[in-house]
Amino acid sequence: MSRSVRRGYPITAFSAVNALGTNTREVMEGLRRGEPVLSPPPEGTPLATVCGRVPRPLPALPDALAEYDSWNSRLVQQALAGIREELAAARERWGAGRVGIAVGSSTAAMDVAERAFGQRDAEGRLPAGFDLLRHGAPEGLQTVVRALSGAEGPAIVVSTACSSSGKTFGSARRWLDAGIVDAVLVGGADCLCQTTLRGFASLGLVSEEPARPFSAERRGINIGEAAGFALVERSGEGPRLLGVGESGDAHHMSAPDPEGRGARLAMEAALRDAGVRGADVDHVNAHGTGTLLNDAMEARAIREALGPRPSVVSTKGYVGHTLGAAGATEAAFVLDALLSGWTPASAGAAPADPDLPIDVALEARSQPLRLALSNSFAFGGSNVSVLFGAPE
Amino acid sequence: MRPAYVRGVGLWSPGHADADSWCRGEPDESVREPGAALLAGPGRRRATPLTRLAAEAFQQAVEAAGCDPAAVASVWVTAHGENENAAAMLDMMGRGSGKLSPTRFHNSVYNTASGYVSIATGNRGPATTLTGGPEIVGGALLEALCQLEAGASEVALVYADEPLRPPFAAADVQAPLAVAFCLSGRPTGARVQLSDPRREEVAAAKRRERFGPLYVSATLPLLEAVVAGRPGTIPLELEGGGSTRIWCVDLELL
Repeated sequence: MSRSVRRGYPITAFSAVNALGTNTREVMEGLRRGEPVLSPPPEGTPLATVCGRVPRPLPALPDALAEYDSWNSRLVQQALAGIREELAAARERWGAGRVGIAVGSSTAAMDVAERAFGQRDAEGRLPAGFDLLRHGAPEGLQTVVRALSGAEGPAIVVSTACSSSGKTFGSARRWLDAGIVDAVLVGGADCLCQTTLRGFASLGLVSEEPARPFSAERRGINIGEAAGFALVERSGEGPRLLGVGESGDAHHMSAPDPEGRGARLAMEAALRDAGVRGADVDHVNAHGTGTLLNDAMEARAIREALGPRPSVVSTKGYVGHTLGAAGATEAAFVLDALLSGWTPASAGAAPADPDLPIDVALEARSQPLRLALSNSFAFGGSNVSVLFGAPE
Repeated sequence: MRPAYVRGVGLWSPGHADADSWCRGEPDESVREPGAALLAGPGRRRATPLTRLAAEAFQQAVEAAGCDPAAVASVWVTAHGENENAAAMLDMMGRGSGKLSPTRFHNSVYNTASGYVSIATGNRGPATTLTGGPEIVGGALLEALCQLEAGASEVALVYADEPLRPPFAAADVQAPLAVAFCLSGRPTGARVQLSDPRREEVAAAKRRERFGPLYVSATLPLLEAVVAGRPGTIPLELEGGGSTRIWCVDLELL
């Protein structure tokens, strides 16, 4: 094979805030304990299910950003605080104008819009002070990330539903390759809201019990909330962003192609981008939602693209499906695995579905890891696979 | 970063069925709904107005460029997303059982248009949907140029937005707008290159009057210059936008 293996770009810092904890250390300790953390949905949810809720209140935004304050913005602020020093160092090293922003979200602060609709007056007017562009639309996310990070380079918000934050790694890679920036803040956030809880319920996909991806006893998904960020730089120390593959299913708006063609194309594109072979991938953090259709098609696509070797987990049984934040959240789990050599059990997977042709990890494992892949698939058939490598 | 070349453009807005009509400045009142012919069958019936709007501009630009719609990479931009659908869902949740319809839900994501178009054309290539504040107009062009740099042979860049509707905003006369550019790395036609941010005065009364603060209308000076064959430096921002990062396009004709 004549492909050139790419060195990729170092990820010099990453952070995660989700149901397992309000900082990265707490999240990773929670993952190692593996205890159930999913909890009942927000008050007023007409639905029997459990959710991945961030476990405690978080500080409000500073006064200068008060009009952008929302639970989603607080998740963002909390996750950015976890990489504050590295962000400052990157601004210092490269110049703030050379630090770009590519972040993702699906519904952003839609919970604020939901409450505002409940407070409409007799003429149907929303409460004074509500502005969709600050609350409910991802524009507010961009403003908050820009202000809190101090990054002054190019900025985009990717909004491709559940692949949103995964795809931000693709933009980072292209921007660095093109030489227009020297560092990119990637990641994203989505908080719990009735729109997504009731929306997934309308599709008949929500499980009453904690989700059990890849299990013979799976019953569907749980929704979670999260924020996660990573700093990808032109040079430095850390696990490496080696390749990103993006594809479309061209099949259905809200159901994956049962043959997994789009999923396979995304994984193959990530391998090609990195110049590595599928058989060399050690670990996969699967999209693994816990629906019958996703698990079957993803397992087939993993087998076809990577062969039987990689240890496959879904971490959605721990934190729920964090939608637009899933790519960033699961990237943090993969980056932690590359640094520690420890991978969690695929939560709730035992007894594994015997029809899946992949190695689902029913127990936590310790193994040297060189290459690990993270998958995110979304409505509209939007797929992304991100390949990470161990530090050099 | 290497420059890109505009191989085709597309535009749709009520009264203007294409870019030439817009540039002539004479609205045709019979133009009320985008054709969006590529969305055939059930996909067309279920598609949202924003999706039909975006699909029409995509189709025009790709056909003008002689590109295969099943193979072209695409970058879709919408600042306000499916806001009409979002309002309908927010309203539904406050009534009766408070349940949502599955079609409304999957039609509420920002990548609804790219999803429908990929299904209609069988395109399994990369597509992304971007949003954000006023800077997204230039940010999306940057993303498209970087995709060309990364090896895509052509990229369709599609901007589409509807004005915010009540109750999100006061009802007014703003029109929806979609503008598309089919870009290639192969030298031909109009060359676009992103340049250092700087401000230039542009005459823009026409777009302000018709589209108000709709961010995507910041693409119109570029579209008009390409159609007219008029080189120059064109800022991708509305007057008084005040964003942190303003991109300009240097347009040259080969």
